Amino acid sequence: MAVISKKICMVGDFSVGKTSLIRRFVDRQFSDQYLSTVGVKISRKAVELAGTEGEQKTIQLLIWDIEGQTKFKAIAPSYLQGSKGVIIVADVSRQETIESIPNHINLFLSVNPKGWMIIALNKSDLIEVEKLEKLLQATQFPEQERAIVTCATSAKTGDNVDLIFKNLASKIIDA
Amino acid sequence: MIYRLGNLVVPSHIDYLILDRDLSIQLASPGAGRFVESAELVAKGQDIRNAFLEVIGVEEILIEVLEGQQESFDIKGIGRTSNPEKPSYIDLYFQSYQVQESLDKQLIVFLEDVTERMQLEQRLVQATNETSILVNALYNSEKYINGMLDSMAEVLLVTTQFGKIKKANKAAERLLGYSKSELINNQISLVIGEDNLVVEVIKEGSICEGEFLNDIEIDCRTKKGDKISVSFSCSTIKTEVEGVKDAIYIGRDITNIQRAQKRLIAQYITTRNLSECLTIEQSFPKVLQTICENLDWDVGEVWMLPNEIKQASDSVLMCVENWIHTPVRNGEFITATKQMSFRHGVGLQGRIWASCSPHWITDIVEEGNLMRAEIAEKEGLHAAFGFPIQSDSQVLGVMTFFSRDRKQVDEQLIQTAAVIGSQLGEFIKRKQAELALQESKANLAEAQAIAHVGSWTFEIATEAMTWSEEMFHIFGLDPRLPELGYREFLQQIYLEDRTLWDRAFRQAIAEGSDCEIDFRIIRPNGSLRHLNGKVKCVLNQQKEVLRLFGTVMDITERKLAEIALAQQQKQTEKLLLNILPKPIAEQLKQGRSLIAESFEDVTVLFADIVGFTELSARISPRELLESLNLIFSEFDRLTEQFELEKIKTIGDAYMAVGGVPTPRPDHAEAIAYMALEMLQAIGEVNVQTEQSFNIRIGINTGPVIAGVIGTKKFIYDLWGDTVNTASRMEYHGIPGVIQVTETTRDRLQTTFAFEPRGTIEIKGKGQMKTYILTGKKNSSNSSDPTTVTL
Repeated sequence: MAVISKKICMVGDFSVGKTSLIRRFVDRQFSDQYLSTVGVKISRKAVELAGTEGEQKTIQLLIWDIEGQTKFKAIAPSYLQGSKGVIIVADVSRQETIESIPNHINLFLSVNPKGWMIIALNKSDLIEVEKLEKLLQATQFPEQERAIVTCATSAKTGDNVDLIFKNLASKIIDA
Repeated sequence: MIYRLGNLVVPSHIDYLILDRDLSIQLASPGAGRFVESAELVAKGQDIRNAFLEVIGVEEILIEVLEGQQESFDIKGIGRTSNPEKPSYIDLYFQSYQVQESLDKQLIVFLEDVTERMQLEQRLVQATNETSILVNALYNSEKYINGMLDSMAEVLLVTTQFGKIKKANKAAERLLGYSKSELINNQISLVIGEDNLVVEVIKEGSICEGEFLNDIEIDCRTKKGDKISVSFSCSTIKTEVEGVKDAIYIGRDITNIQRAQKRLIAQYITTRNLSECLTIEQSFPKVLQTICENLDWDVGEVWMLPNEIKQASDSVLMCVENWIHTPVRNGEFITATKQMSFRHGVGLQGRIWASCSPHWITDIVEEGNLMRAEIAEKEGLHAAFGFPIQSDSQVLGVMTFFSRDRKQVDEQLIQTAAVIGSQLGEFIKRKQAELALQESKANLAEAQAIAHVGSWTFEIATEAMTWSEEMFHIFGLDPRLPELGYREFLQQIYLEDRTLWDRAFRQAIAEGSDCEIDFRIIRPNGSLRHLNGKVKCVLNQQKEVLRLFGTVMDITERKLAEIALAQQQKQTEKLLLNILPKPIAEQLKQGRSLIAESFEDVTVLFADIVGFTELSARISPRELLESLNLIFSEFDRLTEQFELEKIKTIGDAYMAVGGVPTPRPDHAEAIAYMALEMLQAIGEVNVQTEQSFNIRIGINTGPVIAGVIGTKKFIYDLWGDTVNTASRMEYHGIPGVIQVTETTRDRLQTTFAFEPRGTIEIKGKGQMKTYILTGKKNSSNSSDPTTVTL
């Protein structure tokens, strides 16, 4: 049986942890050292999912690690083309990266109106639980029907990392 | 070399693949294999998606390009990390390709190695992003710190070492009335006045980083000109330039606390003064002075009404007394005052009289319609305040005060003044009544006074002396005894005074002149009495002395009182010396305003009574105070015994130092002996009071700064890390135990026994090794007189 490959993207401001989330998910590794991504890099990971009738399904995720948005350079929309889903990443310790989330949502939807989105508030290990609760409440997008969920993640501890990828994969495969 | 490909010209560094509609590779340029893991992936017939995963998902777009519906499609900057240290990058460009009209449309993919450019870009982006994160973090941290400073209740001012303000917080704006921009770059003297001692101390640079000048009361002036009292703690902080320090002032507004204290003092002193004053006239200057000095007024006046008032409209208030704070020269104002009188309801004084209540004027210059406003302005007087002197709601007079400062209405002060006003009113009423009584009793009192005076006569011709009955009483003799002659009389006089008296007596006879002499006698029971004797000559017509007439009055009580007073004065002087060390008191007398001296090597001791607060709930304050007094007196005795210096008591804590102000090499030993004796003294006090007091003692050795700071309360105090650490030793100590630092232990370990206490966490110092002083080391030939057994 041929494994289905699906393209998903990681989008967000620079230094929010897109590469780290992929590295944790794919290689089960983490490094504190910051290395900025330029251009794009694709990683592959096969994800096993339980189908609606209980049967095992395997999907190969092609994860596009796209360079983060900076003041000087916007994200090239061409990278997003053909993407079935996106993980929009923000850094809980930098308010401005959270404020960029709606822009990233709009950019992704302008290219892929039928794509699925998950919002990851990364580096959750850096702030207090109470603060995190407040941020999660403020970053729900109920009016966005393509947004699946907003999750607090930590590439450092691995918290919720598998969950977001699997959650997005299962949404894509059901569609 | 240039590849010719149909009608295209391809530069040598660019490779290409030609794909059919199914994205199957039809042709690959010779170098295309270097872009993929193995050259087979670009062999004819291979699906491009196996070579380039990036194509997955965009197949529809590629078909559109092939069909010419879209001009081209690019995927730029594709990272390949076969070597993670050195990633390579590729750009892919897709275009439609058709060799001939008749043939199928195909896709051509150009492959370009852009590693060099992308690596350059990576370095640039990395640097930019790192900077951006850093700047952002800095900005946030500065915002947070500023927010913190602004939310402080205390005033914060940071100045250069030379007093230029660099930073101020919101509390400073609120308290001082200046905006930050008005404060910053101005001298701190703008708010705390010229040549303040603290500013001088900081300029001298003798305060180290982390050292504090604590709770220094400074009078500040707000932008509006109001005077406020601020308690400052000052410290310094290093700047980026070596040796240059900034000063940090953290202040708390204590105006209200201080005012309340001063009001209490004023009220207390007034009450005491009134109980000591004999006449109304005596009381006025004292009350004026008390209020002016304690409540900060520069001019005070008493305005009185005549004793008998028939109708308010017929009487006027006249100034009977005034008091001027010496540094103020209010010549013209006072001259004007003396020529003035106020009718009922006229002027500040008349209004107070009419309303029977205090009045307050923040600034008489602004008020305008006051009679002396112009002169007041010239003299620099601003605030005014007055209250009635009244008894049983009858106004007897008015007191008014003026200040060179503007002063906001102080309700508490008005209340205090009202109390003082009625106290004074009652006093005046009482004195008036006493005066009336005294007059009626004057004759009787005179008779009584005479009755207590003994008299004698001495006939020159016969040398016979006659005594009145009182003479016998005064000399402690039985009146039934026969009269004594002059020789016997002389025998009664105290030896030292005998010649004096005899000479005066003989001179009176020889010259016929009267005389008066104070002398002492010894009564038969041995008691010494002081007498005042007067001798009057009775002459005949030839001006010859016929006889002498004399009176003798017992003045022992008065003399003793005088002696006691002199002694008391001496004691007061001694007491003053107790507050300050003698050398320091001498320096102060010589007018040195700032005394701060550093001592390289001293030992500081803190002792604190354990559970004092709990004890105060259990036993009466009086008992507690007596016990505390007993303990501290013992400590004082020990301080003297070991020739140490007591610095101060703080509540139930006792602070002493060895090696200050006179350096001595054995300061640590002396303090150690003192500490051991203190523990013993506590035991003795417990036996005596049937209480169970216990103390913690902490000791540290090192350098300190010692001196007198402050303009009003002269207190000799110590500063420095050494002092703080000694206090920590006490605070973290164990009841009944002497805790010392390693420094102190090292000094003493040859003569004293120690046990390690271990390492304790000391706030601001981190981990410190401490020791417990257990006693003197046992040595058979100890030459020390103070043998301590524990």
